[in-house]
Amino acid sequence: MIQYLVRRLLWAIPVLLAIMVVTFFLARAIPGGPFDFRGDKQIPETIRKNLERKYGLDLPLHQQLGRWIWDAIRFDFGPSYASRSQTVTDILKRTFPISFQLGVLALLFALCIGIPMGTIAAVKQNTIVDYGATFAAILGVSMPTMVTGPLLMWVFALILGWLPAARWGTDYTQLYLGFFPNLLSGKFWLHAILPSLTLGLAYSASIARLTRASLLQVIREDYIRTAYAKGLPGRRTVILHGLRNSLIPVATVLGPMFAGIVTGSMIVEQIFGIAGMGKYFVTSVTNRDYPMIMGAVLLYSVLLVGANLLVDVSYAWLDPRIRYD
Amino acid sequence: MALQKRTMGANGEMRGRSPTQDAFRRLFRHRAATVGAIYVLLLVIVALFVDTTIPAAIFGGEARPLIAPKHFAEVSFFERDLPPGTPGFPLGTDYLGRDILSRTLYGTRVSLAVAIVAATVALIVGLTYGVISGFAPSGVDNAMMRFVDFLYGFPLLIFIILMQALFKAVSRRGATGFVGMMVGIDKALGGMFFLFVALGILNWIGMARLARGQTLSVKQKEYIESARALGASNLRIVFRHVLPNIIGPCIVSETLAIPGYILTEAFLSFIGLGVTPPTPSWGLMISETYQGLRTYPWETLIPGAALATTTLAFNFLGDGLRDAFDPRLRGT
Amino acid sequence: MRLSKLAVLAVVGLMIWPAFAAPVILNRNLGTEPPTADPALGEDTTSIEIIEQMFLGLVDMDEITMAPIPELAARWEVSADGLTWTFFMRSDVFWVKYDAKAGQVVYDLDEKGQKRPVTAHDVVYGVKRTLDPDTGSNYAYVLYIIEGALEANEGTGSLDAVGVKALDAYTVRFTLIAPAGYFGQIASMWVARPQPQWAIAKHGDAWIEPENIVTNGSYVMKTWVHNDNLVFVRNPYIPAALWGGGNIDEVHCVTIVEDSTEFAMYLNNELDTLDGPPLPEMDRIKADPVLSKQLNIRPQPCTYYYGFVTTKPPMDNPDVRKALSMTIDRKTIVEQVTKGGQIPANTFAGGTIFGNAALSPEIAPWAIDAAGWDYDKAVTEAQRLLAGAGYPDGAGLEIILMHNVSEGHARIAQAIQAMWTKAFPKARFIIETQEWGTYLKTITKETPIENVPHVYRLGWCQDYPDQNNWVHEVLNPTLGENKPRLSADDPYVGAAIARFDELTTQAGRLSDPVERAKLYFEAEKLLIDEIVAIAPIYYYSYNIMNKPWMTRKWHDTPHWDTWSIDMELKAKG
Repeated sequence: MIQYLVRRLLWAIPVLLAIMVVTFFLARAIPGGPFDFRGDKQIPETIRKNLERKYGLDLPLHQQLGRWIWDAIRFDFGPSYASRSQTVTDILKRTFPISFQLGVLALLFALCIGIPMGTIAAVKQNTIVDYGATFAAILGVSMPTMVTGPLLMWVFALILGWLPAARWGTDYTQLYLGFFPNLLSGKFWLHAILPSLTLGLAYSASIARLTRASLLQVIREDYIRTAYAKGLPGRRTVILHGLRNSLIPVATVLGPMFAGIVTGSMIVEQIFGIAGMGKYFVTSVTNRDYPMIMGAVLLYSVLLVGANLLVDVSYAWLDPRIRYD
Repeated sequence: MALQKRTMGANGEMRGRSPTQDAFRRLFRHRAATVGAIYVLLLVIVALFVDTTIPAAIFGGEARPLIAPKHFAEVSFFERDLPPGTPGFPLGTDYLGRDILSRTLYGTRVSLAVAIVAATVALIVGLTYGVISGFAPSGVDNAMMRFVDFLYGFPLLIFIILMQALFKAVSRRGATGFVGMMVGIDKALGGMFFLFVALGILNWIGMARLARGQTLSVKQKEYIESARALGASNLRIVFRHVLPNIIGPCIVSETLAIPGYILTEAFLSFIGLGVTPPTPSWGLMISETYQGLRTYPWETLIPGAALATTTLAFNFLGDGLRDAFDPRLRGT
Repeated sequence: MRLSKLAVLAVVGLMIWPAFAAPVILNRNLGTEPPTADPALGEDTTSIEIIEQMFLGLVDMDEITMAPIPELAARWEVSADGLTWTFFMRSDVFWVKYDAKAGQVVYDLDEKGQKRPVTAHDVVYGVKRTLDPDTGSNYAYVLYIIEGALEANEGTGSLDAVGVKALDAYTVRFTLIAPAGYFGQIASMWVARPQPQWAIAKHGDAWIEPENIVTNGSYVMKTWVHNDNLVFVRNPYIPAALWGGGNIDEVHCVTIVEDSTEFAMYLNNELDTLDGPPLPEMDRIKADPVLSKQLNIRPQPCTYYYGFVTTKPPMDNPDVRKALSMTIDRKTIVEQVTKGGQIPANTFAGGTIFGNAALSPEIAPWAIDAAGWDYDKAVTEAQRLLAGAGYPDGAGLEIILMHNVSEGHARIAQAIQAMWTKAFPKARFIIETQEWGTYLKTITKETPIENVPHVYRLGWCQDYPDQNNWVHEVLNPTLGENKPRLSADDPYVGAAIARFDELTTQAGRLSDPVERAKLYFEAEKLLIDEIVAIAPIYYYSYNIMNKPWMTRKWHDTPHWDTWSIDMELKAKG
């Protein structure tokens, strides 16, 4: 197992390097540069040249890439071209914890709703309960967050007045170890409910549907039948024997879902005015903010590679017949 | 062993029916799946014939549209934002006075195209890749999965902007041949063809991981071991035993991914990289009106409902397909 | 007895408490995270808004006329040839900062413990820092009118040779390359404001963070949680003469991007004022008896226009361009599509710009239904023009209209596409969109002609309120951006283009306002009516909602020190 882990971690290095190299060249292949325009206007030639010289963009591409890699090894991702008083590291350090908190809450919410819903649907296959659960799940998944977000805000903040309309309950200056919110703070939870509900709804449906499909398959396996034959009560059989095995497809999907969800959702963060990192995946590209593109992609890729590794390890736990040696 | 015998029996000894026929028979016994299938079929018909007109010769008078009452870009400034039920506009009008019913019907094209193109690319490529990876020796498997990791971390958005910028530059130079054909398709879909390709490329990877996970699990099963013991070739094992056993979750996951594709298109419309107006898509219709949700809710909720029902249909169809192709239910 | 005394005390206390103890707080949404607070680097309205509050300029611009009025400079003198501007500064303004430990605004002290006054040297430093190529200021070019500025910024000349000099601690002199009548407005811009050399030297790029920043304006930055919120407190040390008369002690800013969320917060009383309610909600706001009273519409010095690429057939024919411009129903667009009180435009520069000819019936009267024109008449005339150009009913015409992706632009483009299609049913009008960075690259005059669209969309907002910033810097064939690719060699309107070039160049080098205005008027007429390089569509407007307790003034860049809040009304909610 240890050997397997080490091998996988070593493999991650060339994978990440390849992603970064391709991203580097792709970003520069898009027409337009970071200093071609400001706001609505074009930047005069002289000034553009000044800026490009200042940020080393006048160097040959391979030198720029070499520089980036050398700096990145030392965790220096350079200044953000779009917000020049901050470095990319500053921005990620600040926004990632917020997105992470929102993402984890949303994912927990999605799992707490999704797995039980999927299990119930599978046990009561092709009954009204099943169809009802399916219907609810699909409504959840097919409503874009740009509809559910404003709808929830309208109902719970404007009409009922129970919850604040927008914003996150903590900011990065009030986090423990720069990462964890004060979980005892009422403000944190009040502000967290609507955005994590909005984001979680979209994911809970996928989880519910996948759990149902997978569980249905497992229920028909021989060992489940054996368990029934041994006289174990139905519900315990399903939960003890079936559910664990049926979670493999769920786990497979959870890995990338996790990486995606904790690096922020641009729409949810924009609608609720949350200072997360989701928007940078879009704005860094539209601003041609090369260092920010590289930083955001790197963080995302590292999380993704890590999450997929965790998923593969969890296979062994979920299905003891799978071994890594 | 019991399972094994039954599968062999389906080869023609027991009854005169092929497994496919068998599957379809079971699919149509599944009521929800039948409804889903019919709905999807209707959508396909709408998408294909939405701009067809009935020639004047048939009913006399003027040529009449067959499906959509109006063209999607027919603007009427002084009839804007009318609620559903207004005479002449059964589902109301949008911010430029365009008929929402017609736009929703036309929107079927883009949304269905994205669903079909992306899902097909993902299913075929991903399944093949995943099964090979799961079945291959661990060294090859490892290499294949690292390639997948690489593609996974790949930033889709940069790719789409690049493709759009490039192909739009090409299109104005009057491309010919294969590129010209691609550009033609792209134009017909409101500049979305390359997005669909990109979506397929992103999503076959997810499918590959799922298929590999399933294959790894199935590979350890007793019936595979017994098939091997009976001297079956790898190819035969894959097609007779592995594929049928893993296709269920894969199809379900793919039908589940379809709303995801349609929503991705909506997200791209949200950030302004979706279809080129005035070509309608449900995602575009939602993202261009969601800010007025409280004033003109129908402008957002009608395309939203179209999206939800389509998703529902694909899901029920997926469920039915899974049950139908599950070998353990054969002959029942 | 004692109890009743207490009660009286309590009641009185409660009554005077809001007036004396509680600070007056303004809750405002900036609309986005300000990219910077550095006067040398500011380039967007959000950054400029916070810079405006924190840094005083030599001069300010009048709320209505946009003429220069005294700020740091109590008065100024212009030499007879218009080339030398001397500003005489007041000596009672000091650099301040927020002391987080003490919880209040304090003077920034030098090594000897003395207060630092804002001096002419700070102005000289500010101007030179903006021009220094290493600063990388995007806006440095507006200072090119100063002697030696262009060379210094290009790196070919020395910063020491720049024509800005401190004659003594409170007198600063600028030497210009041409007698620019608009230099007063340039001197009011953020790029020409005094900057604290010692703080910048000490903290580098991070000098604008709240723990480092040293400022001299009406408000001082207290905290800046990036991407989330900023808090500013009133500067108690600013001379009374420079205070705008408002009563706001603290400004709590958030950075919500989403219009509909901002609107929800406004309705929830979480914001006191709101810039730009969501477009789809405009109808409801106008119809609502309460909300409609809170809506204020004011002209904004920006113009929305479509540009024509005059070298790309069939757009090379001015009759085709004119026919397209005439068939844009500007009134319907502002009333039915943009809905925010915009004004149909018949010129490039709007009504608050010096030298503008906005709404003059002598220029393109068909655009504003003046001089007996209406839309139907314009369409008939346009159809005649296009038929004359060889495209009856638009047959054989294929026009690509490109805009950058944005919900608002898409609405307008689709509306205009529909208008054109209705007027010329046999023509094809194709909309293409590109994401902003790509788009700007596409429409520059360097792009190969086969890649540019026939028609492009742009808006222009003033950098400073003078025609030089409009017709000259944007459209001059030799020195401007010239996206329509105007050239004196044009076979149809070459002579008019040559004249336009001459007019706009000459007007920028004169100082007599009457003469300048005359030249600009002629230039606008040529531009819109004869060359038809652009089709102006509308002049922008501000759509601002204020809670009943909120009073705002209307400077182009907000001046918070002129705003006030009625706390009694606010307490009632």
